[in-house]
Amino acid sequence: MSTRGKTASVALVAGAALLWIAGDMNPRLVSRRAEYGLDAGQPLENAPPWVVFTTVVLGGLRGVVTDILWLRVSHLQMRGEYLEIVQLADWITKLNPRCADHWAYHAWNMGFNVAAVMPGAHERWRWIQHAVRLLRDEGLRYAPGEPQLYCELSWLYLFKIGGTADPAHGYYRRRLACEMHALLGGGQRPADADLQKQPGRDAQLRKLNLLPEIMAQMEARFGQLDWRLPETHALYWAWRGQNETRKRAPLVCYRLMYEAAAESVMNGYLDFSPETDGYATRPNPALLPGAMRAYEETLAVYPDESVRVAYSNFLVKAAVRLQGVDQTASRTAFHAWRMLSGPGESAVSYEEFLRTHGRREIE
Amino acid sequence: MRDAAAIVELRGLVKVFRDFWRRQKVTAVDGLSLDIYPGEVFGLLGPNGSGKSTTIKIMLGLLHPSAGTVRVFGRPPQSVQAKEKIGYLPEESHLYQYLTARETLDFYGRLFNLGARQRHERIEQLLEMVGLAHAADRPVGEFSKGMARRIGLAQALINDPRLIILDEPTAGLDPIGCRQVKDIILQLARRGRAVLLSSHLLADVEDVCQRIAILYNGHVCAEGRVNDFTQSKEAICITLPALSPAQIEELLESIRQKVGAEPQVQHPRVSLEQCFLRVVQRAEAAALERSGAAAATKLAEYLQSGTASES
Amino acid sequence: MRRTLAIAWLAARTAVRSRLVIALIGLLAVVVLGLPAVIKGDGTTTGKIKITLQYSLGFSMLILGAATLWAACGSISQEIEGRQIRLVVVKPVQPWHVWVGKWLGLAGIAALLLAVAGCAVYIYLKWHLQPDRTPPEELKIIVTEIMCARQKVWSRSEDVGRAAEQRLRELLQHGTLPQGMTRRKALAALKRQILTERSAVRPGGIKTWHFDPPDKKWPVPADAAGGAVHLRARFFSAFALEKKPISGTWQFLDDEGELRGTLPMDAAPEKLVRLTVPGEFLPPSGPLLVRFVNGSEERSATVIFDTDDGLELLIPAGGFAANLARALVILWCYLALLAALGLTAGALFSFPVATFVAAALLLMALTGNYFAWMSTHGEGDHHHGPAEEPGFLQKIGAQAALAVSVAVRPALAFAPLGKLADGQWIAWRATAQALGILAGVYPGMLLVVGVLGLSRRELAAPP
Repeated sequence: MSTRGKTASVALVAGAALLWIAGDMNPRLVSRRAEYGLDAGQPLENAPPWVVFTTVVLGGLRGVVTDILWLRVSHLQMRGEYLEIVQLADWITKLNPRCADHWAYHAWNMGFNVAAVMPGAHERWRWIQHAVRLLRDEGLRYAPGEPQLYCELSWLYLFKIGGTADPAHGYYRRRLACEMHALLGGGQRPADADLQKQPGRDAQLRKLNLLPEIMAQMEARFGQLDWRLPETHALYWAWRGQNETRKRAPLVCYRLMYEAAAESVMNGYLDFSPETDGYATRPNPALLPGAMRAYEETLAVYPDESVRVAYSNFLVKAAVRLQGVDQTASRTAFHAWRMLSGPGESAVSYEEFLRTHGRREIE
Repeated sequence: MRDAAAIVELRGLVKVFRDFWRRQKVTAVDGLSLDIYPGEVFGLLGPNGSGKSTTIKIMLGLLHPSAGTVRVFGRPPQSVQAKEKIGYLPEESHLYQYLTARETLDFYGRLFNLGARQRHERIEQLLEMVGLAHAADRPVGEFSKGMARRIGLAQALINDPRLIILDEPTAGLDPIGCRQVKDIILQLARRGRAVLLSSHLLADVEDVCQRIAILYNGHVCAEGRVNDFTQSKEAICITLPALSPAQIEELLESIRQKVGAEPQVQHPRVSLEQCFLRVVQRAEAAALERSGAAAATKLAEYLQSGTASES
Repeated sequence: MRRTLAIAWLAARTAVRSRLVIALIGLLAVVVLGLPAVIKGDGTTTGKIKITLQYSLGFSMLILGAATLWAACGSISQEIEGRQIRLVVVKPVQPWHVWVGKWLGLAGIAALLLAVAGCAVYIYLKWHLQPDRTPPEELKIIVTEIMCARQKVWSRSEDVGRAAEQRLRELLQHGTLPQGMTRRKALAALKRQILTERSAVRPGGIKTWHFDPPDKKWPVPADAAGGAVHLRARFFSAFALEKKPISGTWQFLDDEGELRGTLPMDAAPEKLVRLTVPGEFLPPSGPLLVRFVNGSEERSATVIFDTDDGLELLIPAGGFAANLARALVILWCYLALLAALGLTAGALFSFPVATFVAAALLLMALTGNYFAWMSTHGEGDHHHGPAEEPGFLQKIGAQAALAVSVAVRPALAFAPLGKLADGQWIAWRATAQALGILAGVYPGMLLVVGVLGLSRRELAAPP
């Protein structure tokens, strides 16, 4: 065989071998990409042209660039420098717009890690707002239907703004109440805002991704909610996560929903005055049936022991807390608890129950 | 001429081109040896692929020889001292297209470390000499092929070289331009410069060269004086003024009786180039318009230094 | 010199002629003017200014760096392919004339464009910082903390060598070093341990740092317009998960222990704490003692100051404009280095190959440190167990990454943009070092390689 022929034969064999190897690796790569949500098979909806362009042009290099930017985030954070975090988070998430993990991580990082090291409540609130905006205004736009993003938003409202672990939680609550108070025309619900006659308010609400029609659906489902409370917003985002996801909503979405609903029962009535800065919450028994239904729906979809225990604990707490506010609601909770607990607790009377569990609650 | 040392000495020059895997592909030059002396015009001839261009490139340091030695002015071709005395016109002048003619010469003049005033003077003289004074400020990229050859020749002479290497200097030039270039070559040689001329146009070679080498397959097949190649030793020509037929016959009869051979009678031939030039000169005198570069006949002043020697 | 300058002029002319320069000026204008409109800061004007400063110049460098590298790769290689170089090298020109000339030409164009970008950024900042555009309190912070040049003064380093030796002796009395641990590594670990111990301040405890004045005396007490003195501290606390603020007092004393002033502090840990030190707290001459007195147990927790840069004093050292100029000089040095890299690659390879090789080398240089760190730190953790033993090829790769990282470390040591955005003084010495290293040593090495390649290359070889 001539030299040329030998070279051609070697090249053909080598080419065939490489092709076989590539073909063997391809299915694994594809499944991995789908698993991590890096699949760009579907076109990016609602994305501005430059985002689509960048993701297409960079192709596989997106991963390298993302790594570099992410390392910079870590490096800066280790040094206590946070100025660039917002911009870097924006770029990292937009480089992989379908990867819900990226959105969730960076929102959590800003809302929890960075906010926590800020000296004043005002600065902390600013960082929490960065986190909320990243998810609400960008994440949901580029990765619609991702339940993780809704859950993350719900978590932020429920545990960061509404939670008590952060020393500045009082400030957060007041700020949220102020903003919603202004948006709702001094009221606590969209119905108070007279949105049909005030299209500006309607537009402002929609700008914050608070859709009046969904808010109305929730009120029909749960009762009169006070939208100045973080628990209501947590409920709203969990609700949307459950109903707008393309996949089955994960258990965490349901948990957030019932926990937010539960919290709304315990503290769902707000006395707030922006002028005097008075802020006080008390139980809202009218929301009890909605909360109970949230637990029951969760149990129907995810019959998990932890959910049953959580429901039981809620009913106990509700029965005890509401007995001084609304006896009917308290007894409703008690009866539901008794049914849930099974035949072992069927003989317990209401008064006995209050004596036992009331003491425990106080402790 | 032969009393002076050779400017260029090539001994046993070999050049083998190899491929990426270092396998031998082509032997372009195979054991070539020749010398070039000051004041002579040396012609390098040969068919395509005979190794002419390769030899020239080796002499200039653009290629490295596989074997053999190359000395230019007694030094290796890469030597800066050698390059200071060389002027080179390649077969195709790849100039910087966006530079004007003046800027081109200025750039190359700076490479020879010429001072500003000296550069300026030489540039003006060269542009005048090659007939590009009117196009001095036009970008070279807009030049015709003939104009590009002229500016190429000008840059080859900017440094008043002792050795001028010209590869197809008349390619693309009209007959007038060809004549001008050949006149320049002859004048340079008369002033002691050595000129190495590589050309396929044998008439031009015959016109200007004193010695030639004919290459084939990378080595010298024949070398010597042009006259030795072109003159036939087996017969002689005698040129006489025009005679009447009777006078011619009388002369022929006398030759027949004395020499015993049958002589041939022919009218001497004038070259087509000379006819063409005469016609053009007459037309010029009658002030007919002619496009293209203006004619110039005089060697640049700075090139006129050196001893005028007989060829 | 005339030859070199002629080639430099031609290289610059080629760059301008190719409309590259015009396109780059347009692109730089877009970056400088457009970036501030789209860049996201942390919500404060101060943050926005800092980021604008850093990113505008950073993106400008990205664009100019890519353009310089690309132009340099093509400068020689395309002349070889286009054969223009044949008429140059047959002239009495050494290969180094060609390389240096082109380098000067490209570096000159880069300097011009960088100057344009720097001026544009400066003008933008000045315009943005007019009193009617920025709140006064933010303006004050920007002027005293960003648009300035503050010199960092570190405290005297603690000599823990003897203590570490003593501790090692005590440890060795009770046992031997573990397998794989050398005496040197053990001493280094003990030094670190002792430093950390000494940097911890319990509730009610105190820690003192000594600062020596640069230039033998402290700056004259100045108001905010003239430049304020700042103390920066970074620390961790026992309230790691809760991130409760730490309460304490900073005391400023002279060498004789006389108290000159105090500043209270209530700050969260793991964040850079900035305190403005009134000028009168500084002694006229001699060392300054800075003492931290931790609050009581009810109000505070144990504090551990960062051992690497736990405390630093920032004193005014000059104006912003001069600082910006020095930063631009250092940035230019990087561009000069890129030009050298591209020219050498172009001297050795054809244009596409040269671009690829140069870009690959640049990527390796920039990521060598990262890969070296990754290879030494491994992937093991307490969730998934220790990392697997690296294979032979991995070890070779790790060593190669480490070698690259060590080789380029001097080049990456300058961080002018970070310092500029932080209002830190860029010393003349650092600028001279950058000129020497980035525009001297490294290009010099590349020059040698490039010239060797160009000398050996057959410029008239058939393709």
